[in-house]
Parts: sequence; structure tokens; C-alpha cells
Amino acid sequence: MENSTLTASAIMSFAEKLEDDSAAFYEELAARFDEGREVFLGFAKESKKNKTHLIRTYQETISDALEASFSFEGLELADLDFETGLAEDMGFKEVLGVALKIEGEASRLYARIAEQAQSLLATIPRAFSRVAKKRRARQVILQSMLDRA
Amino acid sequence: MTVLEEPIKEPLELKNFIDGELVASKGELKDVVNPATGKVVARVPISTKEDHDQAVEAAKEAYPDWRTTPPVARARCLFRLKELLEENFEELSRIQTMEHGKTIDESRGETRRGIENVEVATGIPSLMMGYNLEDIASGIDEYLIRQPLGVFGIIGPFNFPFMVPLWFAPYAVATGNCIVLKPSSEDPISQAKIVELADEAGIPPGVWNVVHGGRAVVSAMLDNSDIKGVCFVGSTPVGRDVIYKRCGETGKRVISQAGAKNFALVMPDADIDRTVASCMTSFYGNTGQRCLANANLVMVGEGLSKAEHEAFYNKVVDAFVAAASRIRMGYGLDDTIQMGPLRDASKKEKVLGYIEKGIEEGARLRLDGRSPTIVGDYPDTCFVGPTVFEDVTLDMTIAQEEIFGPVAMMMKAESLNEAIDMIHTNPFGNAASIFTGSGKWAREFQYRTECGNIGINVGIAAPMAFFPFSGMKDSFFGSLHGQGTESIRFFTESKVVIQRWF
Repeated sequence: MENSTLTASAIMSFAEKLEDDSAAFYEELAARFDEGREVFLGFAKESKKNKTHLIRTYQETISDALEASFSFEGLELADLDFETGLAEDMGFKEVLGVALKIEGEASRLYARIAEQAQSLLATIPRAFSRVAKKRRARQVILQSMLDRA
Repeated sequence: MTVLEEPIKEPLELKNFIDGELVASKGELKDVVNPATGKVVARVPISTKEDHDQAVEAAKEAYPDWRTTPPVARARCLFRLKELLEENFEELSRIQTMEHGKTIDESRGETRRGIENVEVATGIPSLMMGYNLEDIASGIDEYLIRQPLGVFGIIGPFNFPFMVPLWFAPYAVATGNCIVLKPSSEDPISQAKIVELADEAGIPPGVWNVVHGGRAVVSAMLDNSDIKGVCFVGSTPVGRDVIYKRCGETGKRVISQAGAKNFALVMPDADIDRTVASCMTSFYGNTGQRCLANANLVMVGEGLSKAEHEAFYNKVVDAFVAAASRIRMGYGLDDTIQMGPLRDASKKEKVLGYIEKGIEEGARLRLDGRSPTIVGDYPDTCFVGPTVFEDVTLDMTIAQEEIFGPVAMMMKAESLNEAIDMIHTNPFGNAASIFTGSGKWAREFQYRTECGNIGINVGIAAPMAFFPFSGMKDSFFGSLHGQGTESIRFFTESKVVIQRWF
């Protein structure tokens, strides 16, 4: 029978990669575009902090008493798959569009992860909720930049 | 899917750690095999009595200085050890997966639990305090002080190679004692790494010694008159008939945590989805190789008609089997894997034997784990998949004996009373769980059940490091348990002083 339950470790590997990729994405934006540079560098720095926060919370919480391998029923590996790459010739407005899409998907996914694990993984869902909120906040900033561009 | 990088690239040649040095043993070397891949990850010495006694001598030599080191200074060594364990958290976790077979989530959980014990032990300046009373008679004061005893022996099990020795070692050392620790020879690498970090943390030579091996080391430990006490975790036959018995004969203190056959009760008002998720962890976590694993799942028909009870039983069992049949088995460093192999092929043979027995005695094999699907290209030498028996009755061997594998028995009881009586027919008393929304049922369960570790809507009732790891009946032999404040009392003697000044 097809398994549709992800482990906490798979979720953590995904989150680690997403934050690393996001940091790299915004560092590239900052290198390419002077306008918005400070915002992009801020997002990159925040992504590194998000990664530290998520991993530290997981490592400090995980124990054999928690349902770490069985908390994420209904989540599939395919759900965690999305692009954070940039084409060479993209203009400023276009990259803002890509960034908005990434932040939208990331914040929705993190919120879903947090919701899924409620009551089964102690403080880990709260950490994901916190990062989901931060990434939603980025959408507001990016939208405002897009509106002005 | 990510298969995490293995931290051990070539087999490690392990040595004993005695008096602050790596020391080659006089014994033969035995292979330590990764049960998922079949590859040798280390060679461990099977030490001799002489190796053990050399360690005891080193511990005895180190004791006077360590005993007079202020508790706050001892605590600072443990603070540094905690930092080093955190810095090496991921590597230590992956090593556990390689040597034991458990999943990476399970290994990381074990690392965290082990570190928690070091954290609690850093509180030793407060934890070791005595108490006093002035003027027990006019001008005469009385007070109690706690003093260490000397050298203690610790014998670790295979199922939690990192964590279980840390139920004892940090407290023994924090209270001013010295230790000789024998890890399981099946998966000794974790303890070999920990003692090196303990040395790096500044714990002086001779205070924390590791001697690898098997029976010869255990016998030497039990017979050595300089060993003041022994901490053991393992099977009941060894825990009771060897360790506890011999310690009684030789006047040694003893903590002997032994086997189990744990029951989980599901009441009619239980949240079935969350109960099943909890049961997957409880029945199949660590591939069933844990003394806190549940083995018998009892659907209790309290207040239900016969037909309602049958429907409730079927609903829970169907959900349980559906979840169990989806468990992904494979190499634990693949972070999507939910269950690893058994520790070795002999354990697989033992579990298969019990499955055959269950069939022979008339239980219905609802989910057959004998030929599991393994994710990835790994040999099936040590793998047994999640297994479920229905129509299990109390008189069956599979309902009574500890299988120590991923086999779940589905049972029925008409009432909470009957279910608790079922638990009490079993000679073990390690753990029991109840899943319910009723405080009344939960309280009655907690009040009456003769088991040391009770879970209420919790499948693995694993005490945190600041609580004792309890156990009753044939699951525990001794008076004080490991972890927390009980271990402080185990590792110290109480001295009472009455003073008067003229």
C-alpha cells in the first residue's frame, strides 16, 4: 500500500534545504539588483536564522516518546517539491513575481506542516508556525515592492 | 528522499578507555555490523577479566582526587560535556543508526534523551545537598550529608547504546564516584565516542573508564570487591538471576532494569486517529526493541453492547493494520524510513519463531511481516516487517512472553476492570498505557495498574531525565531507579552528623 506519511526527519531535511536555497536565492537577487538589495540581504539572513531555529527546536525536542515517524500523514514528498531557481535574463518585476510565488508556497507548506503535527510533536509545530508567519510577512514587503516597481 | 552521509567510512578499531588512554585489550576482536547494510562498521575487543580489573584499579586511584573536587567543579566538566555532545549531535546520531539500525529520527531522539541526563546531572550542587536541624536538643545540631562511595559498574544494553548508560554515568560521576562502563558489544561505538568527549570535557583520567566486551567483563565486575554497585539494563533472566542475585551475595548496590510485556488499552471514547499514530511509534518504534514498547493492544468494551464492542474492536484494528501496512522499512539514514531492521539476524530468527508460535497456538495472522518490502537495495538479513495478530488470548505465548520485535497482539476486554486484571496476570510491570478522554478511567488506570511507567494518551511512557525510570515486578530489581534524584541517592551514602560544641 502506498505510504503517505512523512517522517519528521524528512520534513527537517526539506526545511533545511528550503531555507538554504532561499538564502542563496535572495543573495543572488541582492547581487543582481541594487534596488531592494537591503531587503533581499535581510531575507537571506533571516532564512539562515530560520534554519537554525527549526533545526535547534527539532534537535532539542525530538525524543522517542514523540510520534516523529507518524505525524505527517497525508503529506507526500512530491508536496515538498518546488523551484527556487532564477533565469539569467529575468527583470526586476519578474524576479519579484518569482519571489512572491516562493514565499506563498513556503508559508502555506510550513503552516500545513505545523497544523499536521499539532499535539504529536510538542514544540516543533510552533517553530514551523513561526517561520510560516515570517515568510508571509515577506509577501507583504515583496508585493509592496512590486506595486512600486 | 535523502540518504544522509555515513560518518563512519572505514571500520573503526575500538579500544578500551582506561585512565584517560586508549588501551588495547588482551581479548579477541569481534565485528560490529550495520544490520541494514551488512557492512562491518567497527571491531570491538572482547575484553578479559584483567582488562576490567585494570580499569577498576585506575578508577580507585582516581577516586580520592575526584571525590574531593568540589561539586560545582564536577558540574562544570559536565556542562562542557553537554556542549560537546550538542556540537557532535548529528554525527553521534548517525553513528547510532549505523551501529544499531534505528531510524535517524529515533537516533536523534535518543541523543537528546541522553544529553538530558547530562543536563540534569549538572545540577549536582543542589541535588546533592543534605539537610539539617538546629537544636535537636538544646545546643546540639544534627545534619545529613551525602557522600560518594567509590567505583561503580555500568552495563549497557544493545537497544539504546547511546542513552541508557547515560541514565547512570553522569550522576555517578557528578556525585564524585568513578565508573567502569561496559557498552553492549553489539553496538559499542556510541560509548567509545562519548568517553572521548568526556575526556575532552576535562573529566580526569580514571574517572570515566570504558571496557568493551561480554560475559567475562560482567563476571569480573560482579566479583570485584572494589565495585560498590552495578547498574544494568537488559533481559529479566540476566537482570534477576545473574546481576541482582550476585550483587545481593556480594553486598553491592544494584539497579537492574529488565524485561517487559506492556499493554495498551483503548477505551471506547479514545481519539482513534491519534491513538493509532501513537501506537505506531509505541509498537514499532525501534523495531519493537524497547522495554517501553507496547505489545498487547486491548480494545475495552466498557459500557458497550457485545455488537458495539465488536464494531469498536474492528474499527481500531482495521485502522491499526492500515497504518502498520504502510510503514516504510529500510536503512535508517534514509530520512523517509519509519522502521529499521532488528539489531542482528539472531534477533530476527527469534521474532520469526514467535510468529510461528502465534500461528501454531491459533492466533490469526492479520499482517504478516515475515517477508517485508525494503526501500532501497539492502539485504533482508535482519528485517522483519510490522506484524499483527488478531484473536489473541492471554494464555498464548505471544501474549505472555517478551518478543522484542515488531509484533502486535490485538485483544479484547469487556471492562476496564478486566483489562487491568489482564495486565496483572503478566509477571512483568514495566509500562502500560491507556487511550481515553475520560479522567475517571485514566485515574483508575493510573491508580490501580501495577506498572512503573504509565502513559495516558501516550504510547511510550518514557520518563524525562529528571524523573526516575521506574519499573515493577519482573521488570525491575533493586530499590532505587536510574535517572533523576533517585540515582543521586543510589550513588551516595547518607551520613548523619550530630554535633555539640563545648
